[in-house]
Parts: sequence; structure tokens; C-alpha cells
Amino acid sequence: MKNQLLILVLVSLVAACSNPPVADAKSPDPIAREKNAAPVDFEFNLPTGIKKGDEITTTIRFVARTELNELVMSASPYTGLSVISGGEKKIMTGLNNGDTGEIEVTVRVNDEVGYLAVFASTTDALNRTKHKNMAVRFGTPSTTIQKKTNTTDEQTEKLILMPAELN
Amino acid sequence: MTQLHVKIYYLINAYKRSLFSTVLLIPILAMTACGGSGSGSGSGSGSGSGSDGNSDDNKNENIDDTTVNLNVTGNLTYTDYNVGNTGIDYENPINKPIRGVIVELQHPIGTTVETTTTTAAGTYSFTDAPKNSDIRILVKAALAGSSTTPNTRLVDNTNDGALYTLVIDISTATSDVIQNANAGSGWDGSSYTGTRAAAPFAILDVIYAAQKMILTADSNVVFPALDVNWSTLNKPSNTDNVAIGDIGTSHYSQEDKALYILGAADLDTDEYDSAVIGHEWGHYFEDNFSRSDSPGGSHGDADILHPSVAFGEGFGTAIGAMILNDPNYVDTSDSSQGIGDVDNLETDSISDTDTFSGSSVLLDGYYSENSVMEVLYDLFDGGPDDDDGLALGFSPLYQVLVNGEKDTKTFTSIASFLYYLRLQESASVGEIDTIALGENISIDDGNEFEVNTPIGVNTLYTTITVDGGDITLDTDLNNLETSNEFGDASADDNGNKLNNHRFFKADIATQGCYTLTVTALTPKETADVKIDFTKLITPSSVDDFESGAESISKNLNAGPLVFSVSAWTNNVPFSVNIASTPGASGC
Repeated sequence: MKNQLLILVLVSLVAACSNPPVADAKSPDPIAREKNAAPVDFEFNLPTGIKKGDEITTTIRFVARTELNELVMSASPYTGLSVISGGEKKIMTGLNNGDTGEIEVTVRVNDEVGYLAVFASTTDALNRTKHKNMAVRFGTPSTTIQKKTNTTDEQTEKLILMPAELN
Repeated sequence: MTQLHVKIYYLINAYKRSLFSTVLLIPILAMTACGGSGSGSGSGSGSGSGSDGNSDDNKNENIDDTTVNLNVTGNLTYTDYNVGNTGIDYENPINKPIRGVIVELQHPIGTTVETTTTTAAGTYSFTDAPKNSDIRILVKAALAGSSTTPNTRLVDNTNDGALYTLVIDISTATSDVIQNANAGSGWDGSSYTGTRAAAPFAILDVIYAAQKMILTADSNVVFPALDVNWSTLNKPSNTDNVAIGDIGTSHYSQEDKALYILGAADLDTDEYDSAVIGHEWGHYFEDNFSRSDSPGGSHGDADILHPSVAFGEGFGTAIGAMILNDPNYVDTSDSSQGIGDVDNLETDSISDTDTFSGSSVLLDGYYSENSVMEVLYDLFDGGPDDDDGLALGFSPLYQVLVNGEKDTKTFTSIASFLYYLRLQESASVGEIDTIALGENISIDDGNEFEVNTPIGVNTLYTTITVDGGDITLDTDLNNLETSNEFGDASADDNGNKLNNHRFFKADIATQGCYTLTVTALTPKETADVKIDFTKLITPSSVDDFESGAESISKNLNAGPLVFSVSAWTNNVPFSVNIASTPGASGC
């Protein structure tokens, strides 16, 4: 019995030594205090390496985060892409917390990056209506995507000069 | 005042402002005194400038016109719009004064010769403008602090952080100039086609009002520098890349100490949603003047939240309403900004009997941002529309926020806020309690940690004993476990809903070295757990390993130690151990 216990202890020690704690490498999102939003989450999977000219079909899932009387979903082009099919308005009623709705959409990416506008309107069990929109990005922006210009003042502060309406 | 006196007055002003004037003043005074009258100084009007027709500037050829200064004054406005449940009311634009911003006079263009700040009425005034010259006035979207150094700047995160600046170009002649100007919205009746110059000033005006309100409570306040990032490209996004406008949503970033505000037309713009601006600025206030232990993240009306999230978000909405003196929180969005979600803080937004989906837990409570915002606004407001018997105004709330709430040993919450408010406003305890009870919040005397525990909810804090061994049960004798009952934790987010985090307090009897260990237990012994302290303690988080246990040794003072335990996956059972460990590494 003593020998068995000794073996057990040794095995445990070896096991412990061979599996040291792994340092946590994740970088959690920085703390961001966001504005209030409709109780719905958007989920989707996009392929990697999307480039200009690609046609992508994806399913946008709308996940109710509370009991909803009604969920209205749609998707339409925002910038840099066109919708080939899908995205039409779809309405679901009587959703429980965690229930999902889906809309399928096929887009053609016309620029370095394109955005698909996704719209959700929720009416909760208390009959309060809230909205949540999102621009889903297709493609990876290069570092040269910014094309704006600005000027610099005496203190080297960058300025965006906007014309005034004189009156 | 004679013309000679006028001229000397302006020359003295010029002398005060310009080293260059020092060189010129003596000979000019001599010329003036010897030469008699100079140019007229009467005010012109309207756009631009020109000879007043009666100008006497040709009467004395001894006067060097370029050394004689003109007044340039005017009113500055921006186009604003009301918002409501049909979105932005573009049909009825309102020109409002641009208040408290830095204005510069440049001559030649590119060289600033005079700087001023607009008044509360939006007026500006320069006295050093040269005659017969092309001058430029820059109206910077920057609120002046105590000096001309800005404390708040409206910048474009998609354009190297450049500062939005309204430009007024004027060709002066020989008379003073009155030049009014407006920052237009760029709306052409059906869409934005012009420069959206009004937007930065609309945002800034809410912050101007916010600062004024704070100054009424404490005239010595100095506002830490704040950059507000707004762009027409700022869109609600699934990715985070602020340089191209993917900002997630309008938010305050504790990491950047900055606001990010949406501006993407036909999707979601917030520049005219003053309540949203006030809400996000409230987070800046909380972070800089008070304290928030909120982990941030997504949240909504019917959520059962981490108490610090509920307080922070409810406070943000409440202070926005206080700043605007308007209980309506309006958030517009969609095509042509034609939809508005409206919450009225004077109405009970959630029925007293409404419960969380699929459970018996009341939606009203210390964990509801709606409950918090309604309590705070009711404590504040008065007047004919007030629906309660108390109108404390802002100053008493401010005093609690910058004192008791800032220093509380607990995680910031409505419980700690009400605890210190009741101590401070002892004569109003009855009214305070009535207002809080209306939202299912009842605070026990002498307890800043938690309020009443609603049915179906765990007691918030579990008290643990130093050297008491591994604790595996909570106060209610249930197994210690993180929970997704009110929302998920995930690989990207360890959760901001109630019970994603479990809360603990330990009484540290004597100063010394202590080691706190949290261990994930079977069947999720490989789960990744995390310890969070309040922001009073550094580091405020311990998350060193991907799985198993987290531990920290710290030198602690006598008093309560408060912390929470969470996990990056759902429903993780765990144990907690705190031990006195004199001499341990880390102390």
C-alpha cells in the first residue's frame, strides 16, 4: 500500500511537472462603455482573405437576448459591395431568449473593403421597440486606405478645415 | 470717445498682444499725437467688410494704415436639430451658438496673431485685425479650459486625429468688421451632400453644458484632456479599426481616455443625439472624477447586469438627462436617420412585476441600468413634471460621486452610491428610500456592499475568512460557480451580466502579506478563471494562466478586501482561498 501511494505521488509529481501552467496569451477587449442597444446579437462567419471581386454568401444570425414579441431583420449594401441576392426584410414573432433568426445574403465585393449594413428592430415583451444596426466588413483594409487630407497649424496641430456659411 | 482716444486705445490693446507692437508703438503714438485724427472705428455690418463710405483714412496721409487695427466681431452658430421617435427633425433646423470654443485670427493666413474664446452667446471679438488685408478666422472645435489650452477636442479618428476647424476668410478694408458665421449640417433636404461642419460643434455643445453643470457644483474643477473622435466613417461595426471608422458603437474608451461617436449616415449617427453624447461623457466623468469598476461591454434595457455595469450605464444616461435638463433619452438611426428610440426617465420604463425572460427574477433592481437611471434622475429633478417628492439638484449627487463613491471599498454600484447619499443627505433619507424602493432597491442601514436581494438572485457578496481553507459554497450555501443565467461569458468576454462574476469580501484584521487563490474545479478544472479587484487596488485584475488556478500575493492593509471571480467560459465551479502568507513572493 505504501509503495502504491509512493508511486501515485511520484506519478502525480511527474504529471504536475510535465504540465506547467500555460501563461495566458489572450488580449481581452479593452474596457469600452458602450451606448445602450437593442437586445439582439449578430453572428456570422466570413471566409478569410476576401478580396475585391469576390462573391461571398453568408448567413447572418440574429440572436434574441431576451423575450421578443417581434424581430425584424434585413441587410443591404452600405459601401464597397453590392448585394446579388438575399437580405430582404424578414419578420419573426414570439421569440424566447436565445432564439435565432437568419437571413442569407450573397454579396460581390467591389472595393478593397465592403460593408454590408445589417438592421434589426426588436419589440420586447413590454412592447418597447429598439433598433440595432451594424456594418459587417468584407475584406481587410490596407494601411493606405485613408485618403483624407488635413493641414497643420503653427503649433503643428493637424486641422480639418471646414468652410463656414457666412451671414 | 474721440478718434484720437480710440486710436490710442486700440494701439494699447495691440501693444499688450504683440511684441511687434512694442517696436511700433512709440513712433506711432508720436505720429498720432502730432497728426490729429485717424481712421474711423465705427462698426460695419453684414458679411465681409469694406470702406464705410465716410472713412477718413485718406484725410491724413501720415497714418500708416497697416499699423492701425480693426475690430472683427461676430456671432458663431451651428445648425442643430431636435430628435424624437421619428428620428432627426431635419425640417426644422435651429441655429445655436457655438459656445466656449477657441477662435484664432490669422494674418497672414497661417500665422496666428490673436486668440480668443467664444462667449456663452457664441460671440467672438478680435481687436488686432489689420486693414486692407486677407485675414482668416479659425473656429476650432475645441473647448478652452482655464486658458486657451483646450480641455476637449473634436477630432477625426479616420484622419490622423485632425481637429475639426471652421474657416472664415475675410478681406478687410478700413472699417471694423462684423462677420457672423454658421457651421452648416450639410443636409440638402434628403441626404448629406455638403460638409457636415455642424456635427463637431453639436457634440461639443453638450460637453460645454456638461462642464457648466459640473462647475456649478465645484468651481475649482479642472477637466482632464479629452479627445472626442467623430467621423462620417464611424460606423457600428463587427470589427475594431478606428483608423477606418470601425468603432463598434459610440463609446467611452477607458484605455484611450477618449470618446468615439458614430457618424455613418443612413446607418447610425449620434452627433445630434445629445443624450447619447451626455451618456458617453458621463463615463468620462466617472472615470476621471469618480470611479467605476465596470468591465464595460454590451448592455440593454432588460439586462440583469454586473452591479458596476448597471450603475455606470444608468449613471451615464441619468447625467445626460441632467446636463440637458430633459428626461428623454433619444437615439436615432437608420435610413435618413428616420428612427428614434426614446426612453423617458420620468416614466417607469419597466413594470414592477416584469421578470427576466424565463425566470422569476424581477427586471427592476440594483442590477438594472434602467432602475439606476430612473432613481438617479428622480433624486436630481424637480419642477412641475417631477413625479416624486425630492429635488436634490446636481451638487449633492456630485459630492457623493467624488467622495464616497470614489473611495468606496466595494465594487461601485447603486448600493454604495445610496449608502453615501443617505449619510450625506440625512434629512432626506425617507424620500431617497421611497424613490429607490420604486425600483426594487432597498438599502440596509450601514451596508455599502449590497442592497436587498431580490427573489431568485444570489446574495451578492460571499464573505470569506482568512486562513479558513478552500471555500466552495456561497453565502446561500450553493456551490460557488460562475453562471450564464443572465447572459454568456465567452472566449472574448468574461461577461458583464450578474453572476458572470461572483463577488467576495474578506476582513483583513491586520496589515500584512496575504495570498489569494482561485481554483477552477471539476468538471471544468481546465477552465480559465480570472480575479478582479476594485480600481482601488493595483493590479486590478489577475489573469496570468490559461487554465486551472490564479493566485496573487499582496501586502494588504487592515480593512475589507473585495474581489470578484469570473471565467472565460460559462458555468465554472471554483474554490477561493485567502491565507496569511508573511514573506511570500509578491509582497
